[in-house]
Amino acid sequence: MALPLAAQQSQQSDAALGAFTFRTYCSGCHGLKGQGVRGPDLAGGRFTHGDTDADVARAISRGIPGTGMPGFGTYLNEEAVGQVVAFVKSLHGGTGTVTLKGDPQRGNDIFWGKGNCGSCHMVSGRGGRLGPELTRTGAQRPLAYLQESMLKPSADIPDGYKGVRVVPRGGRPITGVLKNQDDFTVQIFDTDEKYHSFRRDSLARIEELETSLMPPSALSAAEIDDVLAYLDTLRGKQ
Amino acid sequence: MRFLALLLVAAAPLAAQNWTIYGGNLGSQRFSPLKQITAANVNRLGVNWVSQTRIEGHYEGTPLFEDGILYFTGPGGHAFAVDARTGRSLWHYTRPLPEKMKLCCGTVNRGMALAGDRLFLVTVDAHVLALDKKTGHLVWDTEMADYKLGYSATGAPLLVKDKVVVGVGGAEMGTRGFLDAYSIDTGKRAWRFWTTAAPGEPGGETWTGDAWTRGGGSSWVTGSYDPHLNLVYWGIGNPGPDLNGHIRPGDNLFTNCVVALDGDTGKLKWHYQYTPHDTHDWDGVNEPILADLTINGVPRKILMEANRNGFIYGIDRQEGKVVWGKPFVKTTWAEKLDENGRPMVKPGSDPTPEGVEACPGLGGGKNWNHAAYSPQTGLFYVPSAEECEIFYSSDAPRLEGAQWLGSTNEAVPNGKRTGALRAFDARDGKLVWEFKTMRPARGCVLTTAGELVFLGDGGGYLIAFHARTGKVLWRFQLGTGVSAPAMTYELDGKQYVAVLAGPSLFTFALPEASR
Repeated sequence: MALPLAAQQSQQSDAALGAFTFRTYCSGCHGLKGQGVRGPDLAGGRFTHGDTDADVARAISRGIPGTGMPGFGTYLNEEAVGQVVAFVKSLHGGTGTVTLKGDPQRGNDIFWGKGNCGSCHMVSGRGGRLGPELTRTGAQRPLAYLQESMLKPSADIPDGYKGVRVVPRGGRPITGVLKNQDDFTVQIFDTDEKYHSFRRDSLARIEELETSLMPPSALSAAEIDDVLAYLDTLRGKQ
Repeated sequence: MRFLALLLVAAAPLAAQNWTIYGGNLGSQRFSPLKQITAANVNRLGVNWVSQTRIEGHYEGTPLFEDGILYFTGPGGHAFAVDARTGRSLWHYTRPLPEKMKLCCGTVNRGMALAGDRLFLVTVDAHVLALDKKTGHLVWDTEMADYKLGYSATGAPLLVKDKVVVGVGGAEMGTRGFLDAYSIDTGKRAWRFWTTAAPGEPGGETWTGDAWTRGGGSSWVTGSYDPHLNLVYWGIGNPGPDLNGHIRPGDNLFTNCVVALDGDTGKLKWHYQYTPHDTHDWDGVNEPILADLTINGVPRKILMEANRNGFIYGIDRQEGKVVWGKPFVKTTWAEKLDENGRPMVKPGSDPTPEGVEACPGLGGGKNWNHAAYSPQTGLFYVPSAEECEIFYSSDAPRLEGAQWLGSTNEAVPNGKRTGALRAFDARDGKLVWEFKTMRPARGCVLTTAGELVFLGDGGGYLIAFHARTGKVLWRFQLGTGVSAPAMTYELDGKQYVAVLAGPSLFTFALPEASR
């Protein structure tokens, strides 16, 4: 639909203004071009939590419970949110370089079978707890991110899943993921799914591991495509 | 007569048991002479009471204390008075704010000034108000500037004789910054200092074209006052647009300066520019801390400052000459100052469309979160942030009243972000001790004559250190990041420490048997 020129200009301005706000508040997780980094790809025209302007605005203002998306209503007024929506909606065609080639059913079998993914990842109440929960991961993560997570698990490790090895004074070493830490204490979820809380001065050593506890995938390229296709179907309740 | 009475109050020495000025004293030292809580007994400090405002948001304010009552502000246009003996509310002032505001950083408020029966505060829509301290009722309300143009205000006013001096925000919105003084009696504006120099004025030659008309230069952090020199010292913020220097060639005075202004007229006495032609949003707003020191046997009137640009300074506050200046965090854009105090900038530090890594990051080596100075130890306590960022420039269309950053910054991939509380000798800036923090130290410092330093911490702790050694003596987990400064006061013969965290005011004291 052709808009009157003035309205077109006004829309462009909103999107341009939204771009600045987007860079400040959103690009850390969604990428400078909205391509998705840890947060979902916003350039593909697919919005899991509703794709009307009002839906996207609500997600920005209030956040999305149960995801990493916080609400920005404290920082951005309605007008600024509207400008971000205009910017996000102006991103066309997507920037993803990964296409779906695999078979989701085969991916399901690999995930719960030879891939052993379920020993650390939970989907709809089934599986392990050490790694990120994946029930909605197809909606939350760009395909490129999911693929990278399998090939190079250490490339980006979300908070709460970084590997750590601590040696208590006079005790046995414990390996797990770092759930929280501050200048005086550290909280760890170990590989047996038990919580530990230490004062830093009670530890002989604390090593934050550079590499993820998740091993790089030993699966074939075709099998990875299958798992990727399976992960893409994981979108929770729609 | 009322005028005279107020003048006398302002000139009287501060009673040690009270905390009636935002920065603890007119020199913003955040030092208290109280010494019931000491390095020897602070390990027994416990919670006295907690008062919850039930108004959500980010609290950055310093409470004031006088005659058994604590006064403080919250985000979004709220001010509170609570009974210091019990934590029970005495009054709660609420001011409705406009629906649509152009804000870079939320609706925080950092506190009030107190004179006679009145409290003074700013609102985020750029008004300055006087409240009756007994009731919280509005006495007068003056618009500083039109918020629709992008002006805002968050800092505590500073009492200067019969006026309150107040600053504004808005450099990110294409505004022209200023610093104002208002009569405490009537709310009428007494003077205004424009922070970007117009053509023909001193400093006007440091701008090109009409860039000065929207050149930024906010004044959003409270300054200091020397009553003997009758000079107001105030930090001035970044030029606009923040990162696109090519739009505004020149040094861009008086952005990123500390200015010394006559307290009666607002006339410029001197200025020193920390970061000429800033392109990294390294606001020069941080609080100037005033102290009289003896350096190499010579008495000096010093202004010390820890800047977002990564340098700390000792400046002669009579003349505006740098006595010493050096980096206090990792600093890549410059390593030292020349003989005139001008930073020796390394080429290749400016943002580009492809991105340039620079240290400190956009948030700076220190942001508004306050440092402190103890005349007891002679140390300058600086919360420090060690982080680098990538700075991008890009073309920036400007629309009136809208954010005009002209560019962006982002974290260095897998870059380390850490911090420290650092104690420097105020005579020469030499590091005496440091306590390393795992995250950038973005909390505030309080120091007391009990040989103590308190620091709020992003991990939720209020921490007490030995002021001479940096040894951790006590800590308490408040359950949310502690951005607001702690303060201290004495009531009924007992010393308390108070701090805002989340929507709650916490007070601490020693158990009875410890005193």
